[in-house]
Amino acid sequence: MIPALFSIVIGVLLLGLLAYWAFRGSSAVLRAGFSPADTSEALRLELPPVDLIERMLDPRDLAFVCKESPVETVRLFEQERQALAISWLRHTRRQVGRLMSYHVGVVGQNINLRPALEIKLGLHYVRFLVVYEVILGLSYILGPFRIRPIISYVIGVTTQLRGASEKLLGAAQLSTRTSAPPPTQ
Amino acid sequence: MAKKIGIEAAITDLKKHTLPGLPGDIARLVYLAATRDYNTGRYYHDGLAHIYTEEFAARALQECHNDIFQDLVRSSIEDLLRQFELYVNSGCAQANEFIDFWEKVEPYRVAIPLTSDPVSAQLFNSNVKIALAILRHRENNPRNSSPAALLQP
Repeated sequence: MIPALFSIVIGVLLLGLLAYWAFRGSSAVLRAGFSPADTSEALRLELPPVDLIERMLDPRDLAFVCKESPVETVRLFEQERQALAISWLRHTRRQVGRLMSYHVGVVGQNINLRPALEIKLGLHYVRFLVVYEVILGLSYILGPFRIRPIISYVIGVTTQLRGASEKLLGAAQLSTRTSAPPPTQ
Repeated sequence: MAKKIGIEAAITDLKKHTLPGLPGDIARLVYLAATRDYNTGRYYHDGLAHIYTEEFAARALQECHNDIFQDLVRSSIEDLLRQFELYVNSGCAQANEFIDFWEKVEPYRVAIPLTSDPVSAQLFNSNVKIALAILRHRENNPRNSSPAALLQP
């Protein structure tokens, strides 16, 4: 009798815990102001075009400025480019962070959860964070033009993240469509 | 569909008749930015609005403004400098006066289209700052002028 009562108590406690987690997840999403309708907005990474980043760190500009201007202007140019590279890195970090925080908020509610894709996204995110920190550190130490060859690696990792997020976006939109109530007149 | 045709016609008109008359992309950017109301951000051009309606004219001006801006953002410092030399040599102002004013007041910040992304805007501002510094250096040391500058009228 006592073991059965004990099992029931444990079962009720677990159910309560699950209900609490589910409630907390949905209220967090509501507090953040997200709704199924703006899923696509939240999961979209707003990143500047790759050609713009390549233009920003084009060594031909550095060569031209070195040839045509005094040392102060060359120094100003390098400082400007460093500030731009750091600003771009931080912008990318913010965008990816926004995507991940939205994802964490929504993932508990998504009935179309795809574990393999979730793990892949998580791994991409960890890789992105490592690469981001390394490149940010190097841009301070070496300057923007020397990190140019590895900038493409950040773009590559971010593109992979974008790809994973787009797949998740597809799944999220599908679950939104299937769970949304019919439109009322 | 008619709306799209109307906007396209207004853009073609701008690109064919109005913009080619201006000396270079900096002049075009300044001109198009000046057709935008400082308070509302809405574009207005009397002649275009008369032919194509206010809405089509505004959209055409906005699209051309974006195009010119994107071209300038993607130009090298050397090309941007050439555009500046073209603009200054067109007689808009004395070179030193122009450089002083642009460095102090930074009017180029107001010439950026509203729809541009922050990285494009930052890159443009940075490139203009550098181009102005080189232009000032050339003004103070005329022998350092590039052959491209000497060819300008």
